[in-house]
Amino acid sequence: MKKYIERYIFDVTRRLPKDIQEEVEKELNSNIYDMLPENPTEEDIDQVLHELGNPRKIANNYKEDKRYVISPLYYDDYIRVLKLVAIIVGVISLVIGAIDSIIGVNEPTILESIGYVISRIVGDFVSSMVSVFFFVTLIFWAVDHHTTGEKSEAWKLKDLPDLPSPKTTRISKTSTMIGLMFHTIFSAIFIIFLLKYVSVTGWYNNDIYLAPFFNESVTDQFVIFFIISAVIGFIVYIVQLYEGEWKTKVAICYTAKTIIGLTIGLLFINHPNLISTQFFMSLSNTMDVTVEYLKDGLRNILIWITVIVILVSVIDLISIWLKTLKPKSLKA
Amino acid sequence: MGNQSLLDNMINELKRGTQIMIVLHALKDMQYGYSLLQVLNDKNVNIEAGTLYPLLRRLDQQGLLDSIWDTSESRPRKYYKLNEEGTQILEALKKAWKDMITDVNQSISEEEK
Repeated sequence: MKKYIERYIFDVTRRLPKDIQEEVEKELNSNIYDMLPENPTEEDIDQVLHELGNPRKIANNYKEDKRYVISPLYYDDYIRVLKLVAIIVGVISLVIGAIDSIIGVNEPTILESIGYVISRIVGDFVSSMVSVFFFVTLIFWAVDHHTTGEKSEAWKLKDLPDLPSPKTTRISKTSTMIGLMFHTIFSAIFIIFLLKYVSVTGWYNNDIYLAPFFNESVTDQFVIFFIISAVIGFIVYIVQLYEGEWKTKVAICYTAKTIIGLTIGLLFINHPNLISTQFFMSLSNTMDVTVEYLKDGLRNILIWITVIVILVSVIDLISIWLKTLKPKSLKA
Repeated sequence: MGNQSLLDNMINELKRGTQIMIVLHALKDMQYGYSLLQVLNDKNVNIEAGTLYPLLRRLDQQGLLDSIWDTSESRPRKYYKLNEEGTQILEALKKAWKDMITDVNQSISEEEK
């Protein structure tokens, strides 16, 4: 039963500097027994210890200087710098991860290589975020603990930040970063697919390769355009992150990116020879319909897909231009 | 009242500033930790034990109190008493407090400006 008192005192003193531990232990011990009646019950002990309060709290009261890794004075700056550095390093890590995995991927199936690409890019990203967190915290800790009170009092009018231009809509950094990450992963997977796995993707029957799905000569033509489109998309994300608000030039970049991506994508799926003739023939044999019938059906589906994709993109662009030209909130 | 906890917080905030002065004053007589707590509670000053004991230690460290371990009884007790420097500080604090009361009362009085 007495053990509770000793354990309580230990829980307080272990949080204190070595040189005062012994003295505080003696003080607390004496104070606690003063507060207890003769022959205390467990209930008495429980009550007295709760009167003293949480060991963490009382230990904090015993400390002369409150200790922080980052003091409240620097906290806002710390968070801001952390975000900024995380974005820069995050972007670099995504670029390296994507290029590395496109060059290095060597898995037998597309599914395994998708796994490889995702784990590679996400893994690089996470480990770079951990290092960013570590180093930014370390640097701020050092600055915080070696700046004397006088220094933090001194500041110049010139150092005050510029006001943001009031008539713009802000771009969320977090959602842009998430968008960038998905863009990088999907682009890398798609490009890897076009480069290495088109010839093995097709119709298998009991492990016997019947027909390729795509016409490799067509997909090969498009690879370079998809790479260009992916890079442009990447750059526009960076522009969005860098500018941080929907300015006219950002909207122009975004529009250009959308139109380029849309054009290449639509030309690709609407290419008359994209799907191989062998595939159509195998399918028509199985389904007992003519190749022409299948091609007509596909063309109808593609027309609808094209219309829908164009509509969605146009709506997206309109909303972006509305945000740019007529910002709703004037947060000054 | 919906803002009861907010009000309680503000009142505690007000009281906290006066705690040191009250503790110093009470230590004109020699006290040990728990006896001081009881003296204060009798005077309707509710300071928590978990705040008072560390505060005593800090005031002692700042050289405002004399402290001595009494080991004559079965259980040792640490006694504290205001010393010369502590008395000076207390007097200065009291003066500042009285000036403050006058100023504050003046600035919040309901009468004409």
